[in-house]
Amino acid sequence: MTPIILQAVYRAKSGDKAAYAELYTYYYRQMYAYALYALGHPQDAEDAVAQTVYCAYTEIAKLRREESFPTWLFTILSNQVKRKKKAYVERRVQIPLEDLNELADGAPWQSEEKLDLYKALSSLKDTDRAIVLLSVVENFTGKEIAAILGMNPSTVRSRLSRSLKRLHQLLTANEESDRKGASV
Amino acid sequence: MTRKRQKKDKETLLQLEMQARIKAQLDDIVPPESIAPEQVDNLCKRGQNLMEQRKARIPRARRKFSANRVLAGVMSLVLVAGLGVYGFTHVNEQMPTESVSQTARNESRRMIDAADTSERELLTVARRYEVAPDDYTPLTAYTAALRRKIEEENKKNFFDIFNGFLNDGIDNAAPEMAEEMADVEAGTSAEDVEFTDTNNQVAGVQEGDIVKTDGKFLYVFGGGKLHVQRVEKDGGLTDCDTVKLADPGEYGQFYDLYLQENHLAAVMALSTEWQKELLAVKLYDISPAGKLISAGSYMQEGGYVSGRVADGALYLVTSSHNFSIYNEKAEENIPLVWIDGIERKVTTDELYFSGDAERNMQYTNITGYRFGDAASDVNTVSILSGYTEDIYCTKQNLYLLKNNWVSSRDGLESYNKTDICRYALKDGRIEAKAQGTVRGSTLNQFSADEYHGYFRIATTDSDENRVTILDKNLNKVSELTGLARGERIYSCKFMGEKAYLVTFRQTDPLFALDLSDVKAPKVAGELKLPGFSNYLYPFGERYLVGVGMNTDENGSVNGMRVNLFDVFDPTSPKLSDAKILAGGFHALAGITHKAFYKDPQNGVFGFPICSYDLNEFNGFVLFSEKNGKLEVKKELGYTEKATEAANNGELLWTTDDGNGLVSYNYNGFYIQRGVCVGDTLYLLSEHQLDAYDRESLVYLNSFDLD
Repeated sequence: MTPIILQAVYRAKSGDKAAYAELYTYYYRQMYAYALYALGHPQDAEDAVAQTVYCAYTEIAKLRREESFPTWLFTILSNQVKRKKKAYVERRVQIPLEDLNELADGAPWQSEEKLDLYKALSSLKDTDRAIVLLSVVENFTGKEIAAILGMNPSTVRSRLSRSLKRLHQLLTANEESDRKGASV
Repeated sequence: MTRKRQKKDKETLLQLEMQARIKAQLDDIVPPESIAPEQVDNLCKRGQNLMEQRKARIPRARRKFSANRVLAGVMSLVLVAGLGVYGFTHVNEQMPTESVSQTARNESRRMIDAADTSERELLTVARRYEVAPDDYTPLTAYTAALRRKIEEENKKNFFDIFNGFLNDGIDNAAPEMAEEMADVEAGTSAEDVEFTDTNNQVAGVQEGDIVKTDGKFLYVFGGGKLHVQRVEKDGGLTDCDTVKLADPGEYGQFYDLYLQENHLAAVMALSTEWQKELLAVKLYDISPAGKLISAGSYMQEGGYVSGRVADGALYLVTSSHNFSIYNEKAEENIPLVWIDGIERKVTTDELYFSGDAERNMQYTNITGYRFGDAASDVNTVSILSGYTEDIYCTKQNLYLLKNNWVSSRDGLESYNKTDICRYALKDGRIEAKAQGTVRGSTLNQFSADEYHGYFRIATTDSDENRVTILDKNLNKVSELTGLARGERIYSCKFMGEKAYLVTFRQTDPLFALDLSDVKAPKVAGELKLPGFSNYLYPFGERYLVGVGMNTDENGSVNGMRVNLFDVFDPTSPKLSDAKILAGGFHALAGITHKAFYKDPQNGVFGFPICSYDLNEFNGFVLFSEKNGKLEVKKELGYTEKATEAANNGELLWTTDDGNGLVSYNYNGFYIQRGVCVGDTLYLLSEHQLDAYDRESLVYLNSFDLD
């Protein structure tokens, strides 16, 4: 965490609204990306972010260790996501392809590669996906992820490594079949 | 950086590339205008509205359940399985390891210190040892062959490559099998004091837990220490001995205790480096009542999967990542064990190969130790077989369950499968016996069962559920397929010739299966209910308790639900009674069966429950069953200490302990277990034990574990 962000956490804790808004600018993209990929639903992702913004705002004064702000923030977010997930237990909500298109940087959906990765990620179990996403959005360590998701750190590490291998395998298989398809 | 190290890193590199790719894609996502930073005020309001709507959805009358509305102001909490973050609190790196008992004898203190120091040193030197690799040339060849094979995509039979190199250890000798049904075991000590054992799956096969009792003492982890408390009359406890356990390192933690007559084993993970874990076992002689006398230690590589005490011996299973095809030198790929701090490599006759190592290059390491032996008598076996998800264990057999997947060559089709390996156990020795595979993946250890020489396993395939019956060589005898298409298994309970299975999509079908004819298993009856049960517990001859969630007509969860099933007539299971606790509750018993408490005598059972919403009840709830009716007997809430902490906002993010250490402990105040000894029910949370009268459930005392 950079000193600037740390400063903002201190200020936000003391009730500085502008500092809180500033903190939000540092994290909102990652928060949204996490919620979107974890939930697979743009509207719910927005709601989860909104709820997190509200909860974190009302609770930040109680944050004991300023440097743990990102972990703390994603803990709240991951709980909001879990709650939503719980609410639609097995209703598998996926981003419709056309929505995915819109989400892709204004540009047309460039590649099947991205779609493949999204599909591969979706094929992981919820928890495994959450672990992978958290390991990239804010480069959280295994122990931090374990804290965020309320899991045991050694499970997190095993699952992360296994899930990444699996993703790699799925994508390699996909790319190979694409290549074969192209050469025919 | 050495060449060796670079090779090791190659595999990590693949993972890093994968992560970079995902990161790039996530970075490309453009959040909608509505959540842009300039909208932060509106967003806050939107969040507030959503939170309030959510609260309003819980009917007033139902919220009455939350009698102890003491924990206000904290919006969300992480739920953790009982074993979850247990070990992180109050681990002090600077403080020297020492026995802190007032009465601990110098001798035991000296031994504990010595053992702990050697463990810690080993953590840093573990990888620096160089041992002559001569004995491992077969593995060197194997590693090279495997690497070549993978690089060349050579699909010929994998087993041929190293035939004769390694002992594949599979023989078809008929093992002796015996089976008893599981129940929460109640024991009696010499003075006929009733007490509860851990809620073991298989009778007579002990599972580890954070608290153990022999009816005279409570042995419990708390605040980075191992405590021995003598149980006194009227809910009293006397602190008899305390050992400050070795610092488990940044990634380490305390896991389980195993108790066998005069012996206690404390199992913890030691780890200072990402993906490098050691499972350490500290043995204690507890024959001098109330004392912990160090009796040696041993360690094995890998992350903790699970453990059992079967027939007086402790078996511990870990999965480790240390195999890499980029290690050309075999010694880098040999699992290590440490006995009383002395390193030794697993020898080739202790190495096995099984299953899909090609895909999942990990070792499963098993150690076997007969209580009372010297630590040097530990037996070890390592199987290059991939990640072990769960184990199932009887007194004679240990089954490893590995969830894997199979994809067709073009990668277009893939399905889940579960590889099963059976090992025969005897006096701490472990012998490979058989391996087999079934389609689909398992839910947990309750997905598997052994009965009269047959192994039964319930799995969820992509769109259906199945129960497969295998013989002792793990060859398929029969299977029951097509159960609840499009749903998945939520809980499972094998009971001799019967089995019960809960699947869920919109409603909760409870399937009663008749497995009496191993060649033709069939569905005997079915019951549909809203919601689902995560855990099934046989309650006497007639009933089955299901702990789970309630759902509305859309399948959305709206509360917790405890079902009492009447399974007297398996062809038509009935719902005898149910209790619904509306709100955001979670029952820890649905996450780990060890949190399920059953009073050894009367029809009382209970479990800890917690809620995302701290305005709701958090604590331990006890039910009683009488003539097929359930009653909420008592809700035991947070204690004063926890209430105070909650009011200080310490529940969401607990404190550092004054030493600058972050304590990622969200649930230190959650009640994790209930244990009954004599007339007292003790509730264990991370920092304390609360004593209640077992009959009246009146609060008696609290004891600090920090």
